[in-house]
Order: sequence, then structure tokens, then C-alpha cells
Amino acid sequence: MTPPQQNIPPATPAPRPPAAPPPGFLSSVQAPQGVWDETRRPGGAATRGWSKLSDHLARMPADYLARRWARTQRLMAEATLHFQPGEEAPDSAVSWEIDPLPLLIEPKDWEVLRRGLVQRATLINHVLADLYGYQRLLREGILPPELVFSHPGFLRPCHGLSVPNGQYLHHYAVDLVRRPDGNWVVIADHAQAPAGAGYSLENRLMLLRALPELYHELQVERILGFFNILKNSLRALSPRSENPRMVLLTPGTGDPSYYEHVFLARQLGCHVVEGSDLSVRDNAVFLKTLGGLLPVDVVLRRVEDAMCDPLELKYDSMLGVPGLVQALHDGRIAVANALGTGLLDSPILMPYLPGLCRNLLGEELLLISAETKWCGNLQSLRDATDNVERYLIKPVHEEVGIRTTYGGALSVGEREALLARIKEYPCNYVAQEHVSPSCSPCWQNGKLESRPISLRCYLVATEDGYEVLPGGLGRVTHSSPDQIGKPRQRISKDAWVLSDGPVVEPSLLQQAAGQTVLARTGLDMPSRVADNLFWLGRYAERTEGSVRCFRRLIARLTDEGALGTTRGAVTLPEIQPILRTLAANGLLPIPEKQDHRWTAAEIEQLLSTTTQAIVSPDSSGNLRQLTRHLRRLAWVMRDRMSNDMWRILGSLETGLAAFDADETPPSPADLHAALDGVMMPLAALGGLVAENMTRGPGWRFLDMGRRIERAFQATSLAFEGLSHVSSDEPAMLQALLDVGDCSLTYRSRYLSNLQAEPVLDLILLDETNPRSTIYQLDALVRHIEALQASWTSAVRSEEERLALAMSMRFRLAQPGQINEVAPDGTRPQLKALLEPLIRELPAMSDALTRHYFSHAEPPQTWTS
Amino acid sequence: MLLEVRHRTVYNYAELVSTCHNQAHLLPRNHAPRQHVRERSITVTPTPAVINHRLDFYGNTVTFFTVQQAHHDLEVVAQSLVEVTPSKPHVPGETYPWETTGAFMRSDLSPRGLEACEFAFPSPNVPVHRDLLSYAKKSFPPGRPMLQAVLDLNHRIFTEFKYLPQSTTVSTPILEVLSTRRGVCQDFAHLMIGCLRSLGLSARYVSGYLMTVPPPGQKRLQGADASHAWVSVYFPDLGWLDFDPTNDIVVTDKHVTLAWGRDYNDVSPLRGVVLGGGTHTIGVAVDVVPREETPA
Repeated sequence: MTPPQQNIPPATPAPRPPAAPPPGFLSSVQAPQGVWDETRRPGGAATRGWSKLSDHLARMPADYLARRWARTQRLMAEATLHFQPGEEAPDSAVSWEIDPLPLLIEPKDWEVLRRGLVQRATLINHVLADLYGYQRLLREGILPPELVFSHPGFLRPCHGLSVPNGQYLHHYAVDLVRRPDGNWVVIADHAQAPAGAGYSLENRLMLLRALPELYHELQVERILGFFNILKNSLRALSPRSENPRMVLLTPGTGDPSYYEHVFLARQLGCHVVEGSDLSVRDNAVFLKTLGGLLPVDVVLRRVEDAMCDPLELKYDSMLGVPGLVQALHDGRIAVANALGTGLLDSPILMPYLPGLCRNLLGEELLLISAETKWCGNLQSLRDATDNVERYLIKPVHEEVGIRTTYGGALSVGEREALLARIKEYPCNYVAQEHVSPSCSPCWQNGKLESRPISLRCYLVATEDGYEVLPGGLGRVTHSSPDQIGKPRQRISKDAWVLSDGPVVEPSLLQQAAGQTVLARTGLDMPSRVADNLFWLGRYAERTEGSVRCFRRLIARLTDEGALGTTRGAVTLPEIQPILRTLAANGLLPIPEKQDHRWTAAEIEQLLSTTTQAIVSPDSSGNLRQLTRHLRRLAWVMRDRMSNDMWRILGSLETGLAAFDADETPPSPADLHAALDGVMMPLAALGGLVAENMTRGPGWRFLDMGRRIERAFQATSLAFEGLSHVSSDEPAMLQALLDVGDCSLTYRSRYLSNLQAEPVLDLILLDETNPRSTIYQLDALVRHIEALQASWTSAVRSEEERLALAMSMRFRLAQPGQINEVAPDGTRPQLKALLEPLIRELPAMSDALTRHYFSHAEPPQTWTS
Repeated sequence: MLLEVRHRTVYNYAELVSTCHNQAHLLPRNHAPRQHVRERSITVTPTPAVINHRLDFYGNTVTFFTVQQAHHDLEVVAQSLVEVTPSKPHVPGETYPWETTGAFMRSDLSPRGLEACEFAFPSPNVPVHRDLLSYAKKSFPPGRPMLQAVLDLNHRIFTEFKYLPQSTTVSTPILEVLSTRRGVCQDFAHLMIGCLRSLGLSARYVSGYLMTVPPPGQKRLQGADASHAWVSVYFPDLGWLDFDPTNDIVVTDKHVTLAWGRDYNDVSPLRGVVLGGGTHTIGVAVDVVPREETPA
């Protein structure tokens, strides 16, 4: 056996590797004066890690890094869609780049940082426990009461809730920069739903793929263990001991961190759910699934706390679960982080942390914060407003409605306006000094540069205190505060914590690669997912049917177009039925023309309209819209999609988009190629579904979607084309066979003798033909019955009655009868068979939706 | 005075409701100035699968219930028997100048001081705003004794605003009320609170009932009363005193306190989240009837 070929390169040419950094590159990248240089120790010598890294690269061929990096990037680009750590606005479609050079942290530095982080998390947890409990800190004047009472994030309904293991702050993240003196300084705390840990894992995977030798040579602390700890500590929160069911509550696919939610949920073994997937009954929380309500024990929330319960918290929130707060009062569910922790997402606590640390822990604060002043304090207000040009002005809560602003970058007028705003209600603002961040080498676009960086570190609570992810999410940040709020290139870096000794742990790659297609099929599938699978099936089949119609249409128009010019006009009976079918799919307007005679000008006009409907990037009422629907559905089910499926659906639009930059419209040959480019991934998707999906309810819903759509496509074309006998019927019959993908079968049975009766038999009534209408109807009956068998009901559901009725009529129909032609040139029996289907198929789809997915109806809130 | 309260709320839905979760502030607080609750109860039809009572952050009794059987109608009846005593009269001119209150509050970390501090800041329905401040300032010239100033503000809201039922909804912002000069009791309470908080003073929203007296010679109409709302203001020297700007009175023994909070949102009598239901109509009937003390 010969070994398989090494990675066959994809069709697109690989980007040219940019020039590599010079050997011994450390000499060429220096941090600017006055900031800390990550590559050097005090005195100027290279750190141990950076000198090893530099030596390693020097030993490698000149284009080593470039080649490795280009290949890794390609792999990752196919597997991910949006790469946006959570701090960015949802509308920013700009993706993050990953820097191939890690941020190196020496073992000793890390130990100092780690201890400081653990202390800080412990401290903040104590503060939360106090503020949502006895409030000794307010009674004794350790914290000003106004600080808490004026803050929109202090959630009164959450006061007094018992929190499992006292872990208000179950997980936590901190943004740090390194001051010119080499000390790490906290610039932000993330206390309620810190984003980005998933990205740091993905960065690690990527660097590990690109630079495995370097990774091993440098002895880097592993980070996967952190995610196992996270998982176990979440399980430990469960009020039930055995097999807790955990869910990750996401605001939905519109959230900029949705991709990370999916990624994280996979690592942790959670379902990704939206608020509407959950329901409170008897003060306990349940997941709505096809099989009914299943109890949920732990909610890892990525929804802002105030939005989590429309009954007791923010009343207009559609993201939460009504009754959740009551379920928490009853102790039937654990939510991490605890509701109310959003209070400390803001920098208000920073000025008070040293005192709090002494008071609560009896220790000095190890990890300092950037100098911060809360303007609710009179002296602080005076300091901040007198020197506003020196400070970053930050809101205490997003409701305040301003972004972080650097006083020094404002015009006189802007500064006055800001000052007036602060003075009108000072409690809403803090002033924070800007800390000049350290610089570390980055390699972007073939250039090596020393760039300012920040680091986000992650912690999780365990029984034995907080554990820190050894590493974190490094980011290239602003060099000067004037740049804050301005657009910039977004670059993240993996942070490598170096170890003094050898690091042993199972391979990260092995663990992370164990992802399968649609992992959980079964009755515990959330109803919303089944709904999406159903529509994935429908859109996939609708796209396929439309592509087949387009193919036939273009072939005929180009073949006959030339003839039309010579003869004046040609009879093309199948064009109208095809156009009507495409119109029913929403891809073309309903044709105004009634007859079948086509002039050369009309053909040319139609060809141009058709071309637009296929390739136009403006996505309404065209093929691109269908492919985008598919992509969107795949995106909302990203947690259920294998990477293969994801790649396939991602490539659907590639062929169509190829003409976007062209000035001249594509030729018919181009169009055929583009349509093939849609058809191949659809066929691959069909193959994956057929071979890889377990035959659970998920597969049944996807397949039902396909069957309904396929029956509809075949029925409507036959109805449009054969209800009346046309002058050139063989052309119509051939179109039916082509669009139904039955030409080969027909030829093998009947050679090229095209007649209506055998064609009707093959495409409508032949139970052995997987493309015939009756085959689809029978499959639908089987699916519906199989789903119903899971429940016990004596009454036939509406969808079952509809499917059975349609299937029975087709079983009883006879090819000879439906082919009978009345004196007026119509086929009345055929019409009687097909016409009801055009109504009943959509009715059945609606009945299915009502039966299984009716929860989609949003809850309504009232007050009196 | 011994008052008997019956508060009935009925929701009729056009379509079937499969589940509803509700939160009610319908049982009068046990701890409130001038009142003693002798009896209180709440009845829900259809019978809820879950009904829990607990004390909220402000010490109000909040009732949470879930109806899990399909229903077209929901009826909630709250009944109570409450003994109310008149408030002690104070001499307005003898109270502290209003400006001293803020400093008092900041230095007072006793439970009483902390409670006052809690109500000095904006809340979801009551922002602080320069327009509110300038409206309030007319009643609060420098050095004026606090009670005089509050009574003046109470009186001005009564005379300068028009009571117009249905002119506002629960979500009408108070700045709009300030400019249109009309509203209902809840708006006037919010407005007065916003004025006081804009001055840095502490004020809370009180939800409850007011016994109405029928015109001479007429019988009390059943269900003629309504839920009512007024304002409680913190005086460092006197504690909390209640004012009713809708009626230009200091609250006496005809007001029954249900609950208090920062604003309406904290203490709305009945709130629900329903699945299904379509459109709905609502009916509310409140009766506050004086009851003769029966000798033991």
C-alpha cells in the first residue's frame, strides 16, 4: 500500500509566503523607549524563553514560519466563521488575526501573577457575597453605600439568594497590561460572563499545529486541563448529584461571541440553549426537547444577569427564562456566574480593593489596579474633573450610555460637555489612569514589529480555591490612549506560560479532534434544533431543485436562442412550467407571458434575467439568498455541525460569488460551472447525512424537510407542464425527467421513446424510484409514524392524516388513468391528483411545525 | 381605623394560556408605619401548581405563583383586614433645613441611614434630571425647613397637574408627565420622587389603597376604589413621612400600605409572563370598607 498523498493543496493558490524574520531577530525588534520590553530582562539581556525562541527560528529554513503559518491559517479559516473576542460591537464583521508569535511568560513572573489573580478572585467573591448578603461592608463604612445603591448592576431581587458553594464568582477574567516598571496591572475585571477563554484554546490549537517543535522545546504549560476543571466545577454546582444536565445559555446567534459559546459548550459537554428553549415548571428548570421536558441542573450563562428573568428582572427581556429567579430561591438550579455579579463588571471597586483586601482577607493586595477614581466620591470627582485630560473616563454600567473616552484626546468643547455630564450625575463615572502597556514582537504581513499588548487571564472556582488558566488571551492593544475607540487591526496572541521542568499531559489535539457529526440525536434534542434541521432539509432540497431547473432552462435557452434568430420564434413548451416552478421557489418573478412561442429578443431577455437570479450578490429573491439561508441555518446549528458539514455549506456560495468582481455577465458555460459548484456540495451534504447521521429524530426532521420540498418541486412542475397537452410534449417530458434527475432510469427502461404515461409513472407513481413523488410521501408517512411511536396517543395527528391521505391517493392512482386526455386538451385525472398536493404539502409542514416547534411563540408580559 | 380590603383582578385571554408565571405584591406589609395587619390572604383560580411567599429586598411580602394548567381566565383575589392609626402631626417650620439631609444621610451607617441611602438614587422608572431639579427648586429655596418644602412640592403637583385617568400608561416617562402636566397617581408619585432625588433627597414609592368616602347621601359603590400610590420621604429627624400628591394630603388613617420600593417596577401589584393567550382584557375591582370594631 502506498501512503496517501501529502495534503493536496486546495484549488485556490496558497498566498505567497512573506519574508521570514531574520535569524537572531531579537536584535532587530526593540520596544520603544519608556515601555517594558517583553523579550528582555531588566538590564537588557534576552529572557530565557525569547532567546530559545529566537535560536529555534534561526535554526529553521528562512521561510519556515511563513509556510507553516499559511497552511495553518487555511485550515483554521475553513473551520471557523467569526473570530471575535467579545469586547467588540456586534456589528463588527472584522475578524481577528492570530499572531504566530506567542506572548511568553517566564515561570517566576507567572507565579507572581497567578498568586495575585487568585487573591483578587477570592476577594471579589467575598465582596459579592457580602453585598448580596449582610452588607457588613456598607454598615461598617468599608465601602460607600452610594457606590452600590446607585449602581444599575446591583440587582435587588437577587439579594439573599443562596449560591451553591458560596461561589458567586464561579469563573472570572481580568484584563492586564504590564507597566514600564515590569509590574502587571489590572485595567478591567470581568465578573459575570467573561468572554474569550474559548478563543485562547483555539489560539493554542492553531499555534500548536503551526509550531509543534517550538511548543515542545519551550516547555509550555498546558491549558486543556483548565477546561476540565471548569467542567468539573460546574458539575459540582448541581443541586442533584448524579449526571447533572448542564446548558450554556446564549443570547443567540446574533451575539458576537456565539461562536465561542458553541466552542466552549463542546469542551464542557453542555447543550447550547436560548432562553426560549428553557421552561420553569414547579420551580425547576427544564429543557424543551422533542421528547418532552428534561430537567436542567446547571446553567452556564452568557446572558447578562438583568436579562435572565423577564418576570423578576428586566421586564422587556426576551433572552431569559421567566421564573428563573424563583427557581433559584427554591435552590432547584445553579446559575454560574450568580445573578447579580454584573455589579462588579465595572471598575467601581478598584479604588477600594486595597482596603477591602486588608479587611476581608487580612492581607495586602498583591495585584494592583490601574489608578482609578469613582466620581461619586467628592474628592475623587474634584481630582478627576480638574485633570480630566489625564484620565480615561469610563461609565460604571453600559446603561450610562457613553463609551470609554480619553480626556486628553478631546477638543475643548467635547471636554466641557463631558465634564458637564459627569458633574450632573457623578456616580455614573470613573476616571482611570492610562497605563503604557509593554511591547512584544508580533509578526504581521511578513514584518516583525514590537507592538503593545494586553493579556486577559481566566480563573475558575474549585473546592480548593481558584485555579488560573496558565496562559490567556493576548491582544495587540493601543500604544497611546488617543487611539481608544478608533478602528485598529485586531490581532490576538496566544500566551505561553513557560515551565521550569518538563510538562506532561495528554495531547491537546487528540482531545479536541474528537468531534462528531451531530453528536446528540435523540429525544433530548431541543425542539428548536429539530426545527432548524427541518428547514435545513427544506432549503437544501429547494436549492437543489432550483439548480436543476436553472440548468435545464439555460441549456434550452442557449440551444434554441440561435434557432430563434433564424426562424423568428420557436416553441418551447417547458419554459413556462420551469419559470413557474422557480417563481414558486421565490427565485424569479411569475412570468407575464402566457404562450410558448419565444422570439430571439425574449430569449435573450430571459437569459439575462436568469443570469441575475443565479449570480446576483444582492440577496433577495435569488439563488444566493437560498445558499445564504443554508449557511445561516448551519451557523445557528454550529454546535451540531461537523467541520466537514460546515465546510460543505460554507462552499455553497463560492462558485456563485466568483463573478462578483466581473464587469461582463458570465457566459452560459460559466453559469453551468457555477451551478455545478452549488450542486456538488449539496450532493456531498446528502452523502454525509446519509452516511454519518444517526437515525434519530434529528435526522427524521431533516429528511422530512427534504421530502416535503422534493415532492413539492416534482408535483408543481408536472402540474404546470402536463395538465394541458402541449404542442411539443416530448420537450416537456424531457424537462421533467431532467429536473427530476430521472433521465438515466428512463432511458434504461424505455430507450429514447419519450411518452407521457411511462414518464408520469416514473416521476409520480413508481415506489422504487427515490425521486418519485410517491416515494417522498411514503417516506413522510414513515417518519411521522416513527416520531409518533415515541409518544402514546390514540388520535392521529393532523400531519399524519394529511400524509396518509396524500400517500393513499397516489397508491390508488393508475398511470393509464392520469394520462387520459379530455377533449379540451387537459388531463383531468392528473390535475385532480396533483392539485390538492400543492395545498396539502404546505399544510402538512405547518401542522408539523405546530405540533413539534410551537414553543417558538414568544411569551408576553403584563403588569397591572 | 379598621379597614377591610378586597382586590380582585381578572384576566380574560382570547386564546388558551398553557403556563403563566406571576409575581404579586398584593399582601399588605406587616412592617409599615401606622398600620397593623390582622388578616391577609390571596386566592388564585385556577389553582396554581406552585405558590410561594417570600420577603423581598425591601421587606415586602411578594407572592410568586405558577399556573400550569391550560386556562382562558385567571382570577386573583387578595383580601386583608388592616388597622391603621393616624400619623403624628409635625410642625413644618421646626424641621431641619432640607440641605442638611444629604450630609446626615452620608454619615449615618445605621440600618435606618442605609435604608434611606437606598432610595436616594435613580431607578428604572425614575431618572434624576435637571428639568426635575429646576421644577423642584421652586419649593426648595435655600434653608427652607424640609417639611415645609415637601408639603409645598406636594401641593404644587396637586394644583399644577391634572388628574386624568387613562392619560398615561405604566411606561409613560415622568419627563413626559412633567411637560404634559397630566397623569394618574402613579405618575405624580414618580414625579415627586424624581424631584426629591434630583435634590439628593431620599424618597420611595408606596403602593396601597385609599378609602374613598361616597358623596353625602349616596351609597358606596362596590369596586369603586382603586389601587393607589403615594410617596414616602425620609427626614433625618422624623424618619419616613408619607405624602399623597394626587390628593394634596399627608397620609393619615385612610391609606393602607401594600408595599414600597424605588418605583412602581419594584412593587407592581400583579405581573405575569404567559405562554399563549393572544390578546387579553383585564378587570380590576378594589373595595376598601371601614369595619366596625367588634368588642372581643
